[in-house]
Amino acid sequence: MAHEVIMPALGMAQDTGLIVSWLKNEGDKISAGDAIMEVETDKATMEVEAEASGFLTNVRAKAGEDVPVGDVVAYISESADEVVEGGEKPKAAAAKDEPAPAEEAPKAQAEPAKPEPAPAKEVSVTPANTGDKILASPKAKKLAFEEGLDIAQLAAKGVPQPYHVKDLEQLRGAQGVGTSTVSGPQTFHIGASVPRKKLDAFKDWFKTDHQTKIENRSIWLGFATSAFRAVLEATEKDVCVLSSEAGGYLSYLNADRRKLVEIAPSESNAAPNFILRDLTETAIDMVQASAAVCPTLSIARSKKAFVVSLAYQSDQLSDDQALQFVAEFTARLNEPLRHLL
Amino acid sequence: MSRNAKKSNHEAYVRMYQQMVRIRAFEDNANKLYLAAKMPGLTHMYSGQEAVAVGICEALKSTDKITSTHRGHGHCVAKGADFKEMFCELLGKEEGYCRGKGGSMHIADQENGNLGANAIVGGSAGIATGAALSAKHLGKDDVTVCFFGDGALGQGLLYEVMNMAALWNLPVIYACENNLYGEYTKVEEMAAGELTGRAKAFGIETFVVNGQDVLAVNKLSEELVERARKGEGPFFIQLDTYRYHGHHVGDINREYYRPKDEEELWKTERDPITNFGAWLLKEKVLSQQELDQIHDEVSQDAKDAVAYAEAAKYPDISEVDMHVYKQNPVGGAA
Amino acid sequence: MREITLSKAVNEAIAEEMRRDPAIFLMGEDVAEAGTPFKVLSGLVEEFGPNRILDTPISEPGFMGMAVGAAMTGSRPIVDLMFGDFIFLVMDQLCNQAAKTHYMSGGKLSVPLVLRTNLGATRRSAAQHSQSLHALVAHIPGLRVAMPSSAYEAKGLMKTAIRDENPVVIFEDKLMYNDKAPVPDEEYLIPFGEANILREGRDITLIGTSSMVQVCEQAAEILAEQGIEAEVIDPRTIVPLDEDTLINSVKKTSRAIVVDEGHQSFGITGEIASRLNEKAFYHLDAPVQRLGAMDVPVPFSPALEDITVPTPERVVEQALKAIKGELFHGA
Repeated sequence: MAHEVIMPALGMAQDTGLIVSWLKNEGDKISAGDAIMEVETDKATMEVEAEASGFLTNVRAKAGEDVPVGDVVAYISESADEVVEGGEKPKAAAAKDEPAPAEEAPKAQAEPAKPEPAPAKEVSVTPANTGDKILASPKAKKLAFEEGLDIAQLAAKGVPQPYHVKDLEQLRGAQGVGTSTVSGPQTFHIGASVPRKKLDAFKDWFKTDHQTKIENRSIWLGFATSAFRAVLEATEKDVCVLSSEAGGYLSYLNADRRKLVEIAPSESNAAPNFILRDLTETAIDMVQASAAVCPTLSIARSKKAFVVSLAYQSDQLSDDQALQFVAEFTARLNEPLRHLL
Repeated sequence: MSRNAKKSNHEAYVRMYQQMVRIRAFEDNANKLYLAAKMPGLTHMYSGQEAVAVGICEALKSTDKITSTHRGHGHCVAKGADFKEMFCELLGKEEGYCRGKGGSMHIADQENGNLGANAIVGGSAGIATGAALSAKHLGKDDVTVCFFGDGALGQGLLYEVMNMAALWNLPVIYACENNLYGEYTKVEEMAAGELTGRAKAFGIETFVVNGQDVLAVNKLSEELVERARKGEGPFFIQLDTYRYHGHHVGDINREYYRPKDEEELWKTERDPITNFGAWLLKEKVLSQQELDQIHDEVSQDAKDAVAYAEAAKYPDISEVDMHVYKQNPVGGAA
Repeated sequence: MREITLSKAVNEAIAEEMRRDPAIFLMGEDVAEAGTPFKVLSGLVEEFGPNRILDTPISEPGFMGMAVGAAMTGSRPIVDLMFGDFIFLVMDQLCNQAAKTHYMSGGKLSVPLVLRTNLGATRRSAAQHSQSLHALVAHIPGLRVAMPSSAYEAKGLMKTAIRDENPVVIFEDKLMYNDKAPVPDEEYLIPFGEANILREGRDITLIGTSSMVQVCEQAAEILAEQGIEAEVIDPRTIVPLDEDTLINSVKKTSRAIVVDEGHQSFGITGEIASRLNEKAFYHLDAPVQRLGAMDVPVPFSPALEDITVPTPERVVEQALKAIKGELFHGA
């Protein structure tokens, strides 16, 4: 059997070795211990000795070639003309500290876990905010969002920053009665969150039962339309939703009267009752949208919940209607089956 | 030597020869694995020093303890370790002695009393002396051998613990393997005065023995182990020996610190295996055929173990944070 | 309930455990007849004899290393390190050997030892006898780190440490050795990794270790006079750390100050503050603050030394800032 001549791993941090010269020619008879090639490593040049006796054959790397350590550069055979099959050509530099060849190397070091998507930026689209960053504590921001309070108004009033939970008091009073010191229509916000668990379970059940997958967007459209209809008691009327998708808006008419899997855009030019933004595929988890045209319902996704927020103006919906709309919608997300039947 | 002694020792001689051949075969295969870039990390060859590990470990019971060094494969084999689990450890495989977490420099084999190799030069002097203190404290008659190289004579820890071992008559034997070089430097350039003078200063009995002569090492070790067991320790042995390879695999072009003809001299005239083999032949303990058979069997064993280790699986990545802490028994501590 | 000193509590814990388990022995400098410079161990050698209460030469790395070997072979040593500052001397044996042996051996070997030492400034002992170096060892996986804050804690934690299968470093505050606290006659253990809520409050969480627990309690008293309810928590062990209790408290109070006697930079205060930021960010109404020892070697002069460590007044000052929502550095 032919004996492999390998490029030895010699240095502490050596990936390849340069063959300076072959000291024996192909076909030469050699004895174990003979110097057969001269190799340059990261530090020095050395002669590599034959580990077996025989004939130098199947030389695969020429003088001047840089060869990954561990690769076969030639064979020592019993006869001068032996051809060694399948003596694979040196593979691309196998780094020395990579654990062994081919087989199951531990994956942990090879593929570091993908970083989580960048933390969601808070999108603040409130009209009063002119773009200057407002300093507020994380808890104050979170509470303001949940209660639909607009922190930017504190800045507009000239309340000194940073804002803390106690500063929100000033907003609760002002917004509760719908009065505003800012001219023009005022946008209000309502936030809610719904655990994803139940909806995910529903989707799984549906998939098994009907052999079809329902899109999130269809669920939002179907449930939001039906929730809106319930609030306005508009049983006989059309409800039209503008859905923000693929860079534009698509119109969906009476989505609640179709089966979830059959919800599709319509050609309707009817005035929209509200705008729907599905943000669940993005990293955004908090939004205070404007409601310049009509109410805007946004659905975002946090780790364990869907975060629903409604932006509206007092000439579009009353506070009671808005609250009821969000309540109806979230109730459907919480118990999807019951509301379908 | 009388005929009777020869007969009763026959088995012990054969075993010593076998163990030395096993160490050499292990190292030759480890060296090849490393050069072929199949073995991760760095490694240090014991070849040339086999008579030290075997001569001493053959005088020990499996309950006796040893602590080992970065150049530790030889001690591990000599104390009774298995090739398969050793090669698996060298390649970082799950079935290795330490489930692939220690590697070449940290093999421990508790069942055979090997408290582990240590990658800090002189780092195990405290552990060995502590194991001896423990035996005394627990009323056991275990003896501990602390293997270290001439390089460890530069470490203060050794002197602190030799002092305590002497104060408290601990059953520990300090086995200084003087292979003439600490890393890439001659021992004379690093250690002033007599090597044994260090232990003598603490009132420890010292001995110098030819570390290439397995019978001499074994005879001395038998005596000292028995005396240590009786509470006459500690002892210090200087074993003059030689490492055939560089400090680590890859320490080539070492003529700046060690001439080639010196290496040649030790390999050809002082090889512990060749010389003991010749003695076994001369004394008619074994025939040439029997010697060859030992080599063949060991070589096949090593080859099989390498193949086994190469095919063995890596530990599951879930093991990465396992064994950081030992689980406390339920009902015990937190 | 009877009241005993922290020193006596430690002594009792060791004596009770040594009576229970003959594998335990104690070694260190002047631990036998001298009973240590703080007299914590007085009387033990009379009961257990010089083979179990072992006076060593002044060779910290040596006896630390021997304890590792003894622990690996069936004994359960307690190492007495006279001053916490000497931990630098034993670092290799503690961190390279004791901490890693169980892991490097794939779980085959273990090192059940206790290193008892101390921390704390303001004893006018200057820079090499006053340091609080627990963060150094808390950084090394494989070691557990306990920090008793009273005589009661010292006894319960010491007994748990002795029974633990891993190397445990226990830091006693050397200024507290004569502080008394109620300690029951009956045996008890305090589990590791379970923080102690000493005082409940809704406005701010004060997290303190070792003697800083007292500092936090005093600060809480002062704050209470101003109508501010501070919650005071003692983590008891920093490795393992009872994160849940700390996080739940901060979720309730929205504010926290972490007080520790190690140097403020790269220390325990930063570690705990960071975990609170990571896990309770959206519940915070003010930045989590750190109060550690000043980043200077401990000075000798009392006039200088006293200002290097956290005080109740400074905790109060920072707490008020957090509660009033005042700007902090860099905000």
